[in-house]
Amino acid sequence: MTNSGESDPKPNTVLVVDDDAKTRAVIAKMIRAVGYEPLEAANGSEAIHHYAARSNDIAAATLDLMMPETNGRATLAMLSEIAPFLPIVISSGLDPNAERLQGRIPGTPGVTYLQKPYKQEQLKAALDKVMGQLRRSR
Amino acid sequence: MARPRSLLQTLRLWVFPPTIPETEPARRRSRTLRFTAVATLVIAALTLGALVAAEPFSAWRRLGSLIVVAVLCGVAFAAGRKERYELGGWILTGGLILLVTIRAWPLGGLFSSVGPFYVVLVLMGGVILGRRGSIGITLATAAAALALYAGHRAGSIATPALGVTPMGMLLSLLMAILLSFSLQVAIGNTFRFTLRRAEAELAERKAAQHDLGERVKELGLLHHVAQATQRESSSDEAMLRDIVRMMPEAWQHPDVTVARISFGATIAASPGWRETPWMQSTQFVSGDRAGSIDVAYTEERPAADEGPFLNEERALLDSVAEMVVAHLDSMRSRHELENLVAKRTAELREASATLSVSLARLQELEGLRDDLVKMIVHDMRGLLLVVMANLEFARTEVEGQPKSDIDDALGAANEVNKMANTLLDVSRLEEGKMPMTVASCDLAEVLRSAAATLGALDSSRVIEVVCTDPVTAECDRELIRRVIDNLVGNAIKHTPSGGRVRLDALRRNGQVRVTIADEGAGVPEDARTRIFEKFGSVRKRGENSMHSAGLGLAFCRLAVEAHKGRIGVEPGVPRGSVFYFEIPSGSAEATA
Repeated sequence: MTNSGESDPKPNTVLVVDDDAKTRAVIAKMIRAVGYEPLEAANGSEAIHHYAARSNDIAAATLDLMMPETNGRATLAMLSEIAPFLPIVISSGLDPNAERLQGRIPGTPGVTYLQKPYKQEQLKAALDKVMGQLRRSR
Repeated sequence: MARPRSLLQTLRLWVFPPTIPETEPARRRSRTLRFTAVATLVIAALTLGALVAAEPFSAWRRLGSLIVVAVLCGVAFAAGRKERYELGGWILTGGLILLVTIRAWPLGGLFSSVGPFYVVLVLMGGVILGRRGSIGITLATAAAALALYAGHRAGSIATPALGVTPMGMLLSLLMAILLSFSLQVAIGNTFRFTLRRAEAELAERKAAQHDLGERVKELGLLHHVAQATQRESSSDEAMLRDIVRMMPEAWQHPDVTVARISFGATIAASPGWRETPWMQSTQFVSGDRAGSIDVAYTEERPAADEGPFLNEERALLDSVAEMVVAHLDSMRSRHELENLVAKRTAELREASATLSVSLARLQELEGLRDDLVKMIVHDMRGLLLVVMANLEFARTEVEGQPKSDIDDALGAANEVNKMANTLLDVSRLEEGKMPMTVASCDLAEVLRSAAATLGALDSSRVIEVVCTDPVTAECDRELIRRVIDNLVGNAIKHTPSGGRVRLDALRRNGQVRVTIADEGAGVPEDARTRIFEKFGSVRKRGENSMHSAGLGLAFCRLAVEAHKGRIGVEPGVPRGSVFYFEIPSGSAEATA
């Protein structure tokens, strides 16, 4: 939420959606290291809630597909609906071919797949890629 | 009580035996009489006519004779029509004897031409009247001759002076008459003998024909039984009924013949079957059941070989029984075989069902195992992210030994990651669910790339790629690259410092063969297959050997086999090992 008079600042927050606290922490650390502000969500509902509250601020999201409450696929589907132009990096321990995803799927503009474990550089490259795709298409 | 016959009656019956009208002999004799009568009249007419022409003065006399002959012949003919051939015969021959004798009286009696006439008339009597009649006619002609003699002796008849007495003429005449009689008897005998023989032959032929007819009927029955037993569709009972229906026809007296066949509890019988004193039976056994075939005459019939039955009928009965038994045995064997087959089929089906259940269970377990592997790998990857990312962060904040320690930790974590990937790939390859993108790929180039990458990591060993020309094959480049990376990595590990690893690829017989040669300690012969199995690695101590991941070579084997190829290891020359794999080159290209 911004209410300053300056021109809309570029959204700088990356929504980190993962059910494991330690994983969230380390991803958040990596995001901070590459210059973004992490916003953690422990499950799909939290993620939707955060997005609804701060949609203008959120530049991208990382999403773990295997989560207990509101599974990742459903979260992806919901996010695809309420945030059709949100760049998403899907991270998972599963192989991409094993997924059966609905909504925006890796390969469509703004969505990419990043297999765990990944390095910081790989995360940055992925975020740059999806954000670049959607910026161009706007 | 019959009156004793008088002499006259006896004589009469003897001369005129009662004729059984319309029998063959009566008809024959009557025919002969009629013929003789006609012939006599015709010949007499012709002769008398010629005589009148030769002796015109005797015309009236001859005419008178002709009239008498005609009357006699006419009467005889009429009697013949009524089959009264004795009467007719006597009238004709007796009348002619009388005529001849009377005509001879004024013409010289015994010295006239009566002799030939008497002889002919004796013969005629024999022909018409038979043996008995011919005796009578002989006596009559003898009496006529005696009468003429008496005439001579009495002087009624003039005796010519020829140097022969009337007695001499009489005796000559009697001799001629007797000779004629015996000749007639001989002819009659010959005739009778021939006739009897012909009749006997005819009877024989008729009997033979009858026998033949009977044999044909028997054969007909056997043929029918053969057909009935070959009809596979009918039940035993239907077959027996069929046979029993046809049986009576084959016996001598079909109108009184009934038959019955019983086998176990099954009974088939002709309509009207009943047991009688005139029966023919035979028993038989098939399997554990007994049976019998019975034939009976419902009325008495003339005796033959076996009661009223013939030997042939006994043989027929036994033949029928044999055929029935053969059929029943064969059907029983067939049923037993069918039952056995059905039982085995049921057993096989059951076994198959059990196997299907086992297979389903196995597939279920495999599915569970694959899911388990996936889950483990997924969780491991998640944890590895935390480990490796945090190590990376920690690494940036330290120097010296701690940094080196962290490097070791990161190295180990990388290995764990690789192990997890290999585990997943092996699982997917085993399932046949590894997605493969097959395209034309230059293996020489892949070798060079692997050599460059892996060689950069370890400069103490030389990695040499021998082939220079492109060697193409249809394959999944990514998978083959990983196979090569695995094998080259192993080769590097097993080659001492300063040693050489040689990579090569060549086309041979539609296959592409890739070889990776190291200078290590070699693989013992008994381990050369085992190392390609999951967790079947060779463990060795020593500086130049590390624990190889139990899955790496298994992954290589599965990946190569997924390309329908094969993998193996040979001893290197002069030392070390040569790991190789061959995959089909795929396309029909000209020499690369």
